[in-house]
Amino acid sequence: MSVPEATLRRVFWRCLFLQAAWNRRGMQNLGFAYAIDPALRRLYSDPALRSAALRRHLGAFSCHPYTASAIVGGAIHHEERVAAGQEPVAGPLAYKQVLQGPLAAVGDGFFWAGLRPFFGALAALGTLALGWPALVASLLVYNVLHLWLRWTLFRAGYRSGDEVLTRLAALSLPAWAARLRDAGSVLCGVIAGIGALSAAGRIGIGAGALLLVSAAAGVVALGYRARLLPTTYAALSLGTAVGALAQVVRGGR
Amino acid sequence: MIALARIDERLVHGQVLVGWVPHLEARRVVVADDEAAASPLARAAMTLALPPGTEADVSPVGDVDWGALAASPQRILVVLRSVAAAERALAGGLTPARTPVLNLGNLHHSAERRPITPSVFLSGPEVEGLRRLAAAGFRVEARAVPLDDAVDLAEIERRWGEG
Amino acid sequence: MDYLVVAVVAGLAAVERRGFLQAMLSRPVALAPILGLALGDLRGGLLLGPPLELLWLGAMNMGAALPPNEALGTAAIAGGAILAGRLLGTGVTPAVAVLAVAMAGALAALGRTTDRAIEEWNVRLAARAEALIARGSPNAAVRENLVGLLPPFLVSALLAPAVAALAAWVIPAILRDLPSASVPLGWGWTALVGLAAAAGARAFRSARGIGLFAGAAAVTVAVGWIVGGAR
Repeated sequence: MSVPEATLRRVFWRCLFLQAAWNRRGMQNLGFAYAIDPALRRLYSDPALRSAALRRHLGAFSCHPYTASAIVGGAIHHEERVAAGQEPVAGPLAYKQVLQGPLAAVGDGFFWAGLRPFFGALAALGTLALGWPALVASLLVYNVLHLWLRWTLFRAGYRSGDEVLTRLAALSLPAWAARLRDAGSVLCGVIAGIGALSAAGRIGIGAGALLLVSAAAGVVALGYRARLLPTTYAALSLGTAVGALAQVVRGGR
Repeated sequence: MIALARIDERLVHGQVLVGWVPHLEARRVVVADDEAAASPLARAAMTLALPPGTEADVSPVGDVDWGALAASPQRILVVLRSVAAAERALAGGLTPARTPVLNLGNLHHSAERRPITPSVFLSGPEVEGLRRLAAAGFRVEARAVPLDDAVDLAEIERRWGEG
Repeated sequence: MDYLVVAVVAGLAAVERRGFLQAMLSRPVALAPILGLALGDLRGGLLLGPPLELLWLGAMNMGAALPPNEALGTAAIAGGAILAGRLLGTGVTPAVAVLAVAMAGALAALGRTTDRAIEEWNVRLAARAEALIARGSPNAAVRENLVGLLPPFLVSALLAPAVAALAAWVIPAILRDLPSASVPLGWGWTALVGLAAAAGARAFRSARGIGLFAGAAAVTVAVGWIVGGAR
């Protein structure tokens, strides 16, 4: 038997809670069991079988919260086969085991290190240059895109099981991530430039120069693995000191 | 050259590709694991997330030519699944002279294991194995991502004793 | 009442950040304006959001590796700055913003520690789920997952308003006693914006990224200069 469409939608909704009980031992294990449970309930009408299935999905699991939806979908695909006696009970687990690392890498690499920071920088630039409508628009586009991908991956996992890899490979997400990272770096540069122009206009040319010097020093310091928080305090206090100095020099004239 | 050897049950995942590969400027990831090498699904999955310009190969621990990797002009990241696999690799030629640091990434909780760091749990025989690897000359450290603080073997042993 | 608003927004942000959804609503660029809207100072939130976003652009959670809790830091900074700005009658000025970052920014680091503690605490939820399955209550077992949303909510709902209150108390005192500090602190804000852009560029970890960053900054300044000069 196969899982009805309404149940699949319910599982997808529950995938959004995958990390609710992230814990040190099982990581997303409870979240995974919570997400897949509606499907298991459909597949195993015998309570003992359902409990056994739930228990095996409580094994340690960790993936990226977006790409994990492909694994939840694929695990249902395999559980359908287990319920039909076409596959041993270890099948869904082996699937989860093999895919969790690589799909975490795809998700971390594309979403966390590419798409989300790109949209973060875009939203920041939009806010600075155009105000809140640009912020709302950036967030809207990000979420339409990300939820569509989450849903598509879930469906692809469910329909095609192991073949989801082929579908995922066709999206060439790592190549897109590289482009987004380049584009994001440009956005940050534009923000620094706009910030410098605006500081020069509001306070004076010295303040604009200070912003650019701080950006350059920041790039170097962070490149040498300076910690963010101390670097932030250093920038704040040095910037304020330069400002005080500028005030004294101007006042003395 | 071999830039780093890492022990990680999760093999290739985000911490490896997003954290270590850019940090080490590695161009190649060698997964030395019998189980993954035997599974077409695992082999296909390993290459899925590689950033452009990075290669990966998956082979059984016993089949890797460590001398050739060490002599290669590319910077290489080696991933092994377990402490036992690292000992087998050492016997096969993955010596401290070829890569001085042995990094522990993720070893999950199990009944025999005790917590060391948020991502590393170790059993008694595994700590023994790490002692032997350290005695052979490796600098053993537990560290999930480059920005984390490294936990050295002395501290690992202390935490294991407490846990 | 204002602190209740800070508590609820910070708590919901903590939930959205990891436990449910991850739709960027707890990212600084969104959270600061949302909190601004809730406290009646959208403009202040919009001033704070972009630099904080860039500063923490690299804050990403990869498996067991935890970043600083940028949402908690942002909630405390934005809450403190907005309430301080209201007490001063000036709204969020760069000087207020700098002092708020200085006072509340470290909370992001503390948030990483509390996130760790929550992961440890959650182990009992998974254990309880196992026990409930064994007792024949699978529905209750999986619902334990949702209990995990509570600790992050509570921790952020307590810490963010507490630190915001401290900032809202200290910042107006400083700026009233030392009004001449406003101008230098404005320069401090400028330096922070510069560092934030740099941190953003670094977060992209692109091989060509730093060159692209510097080039884009130079072109932007040059174009601005020429256009501005022609006017």
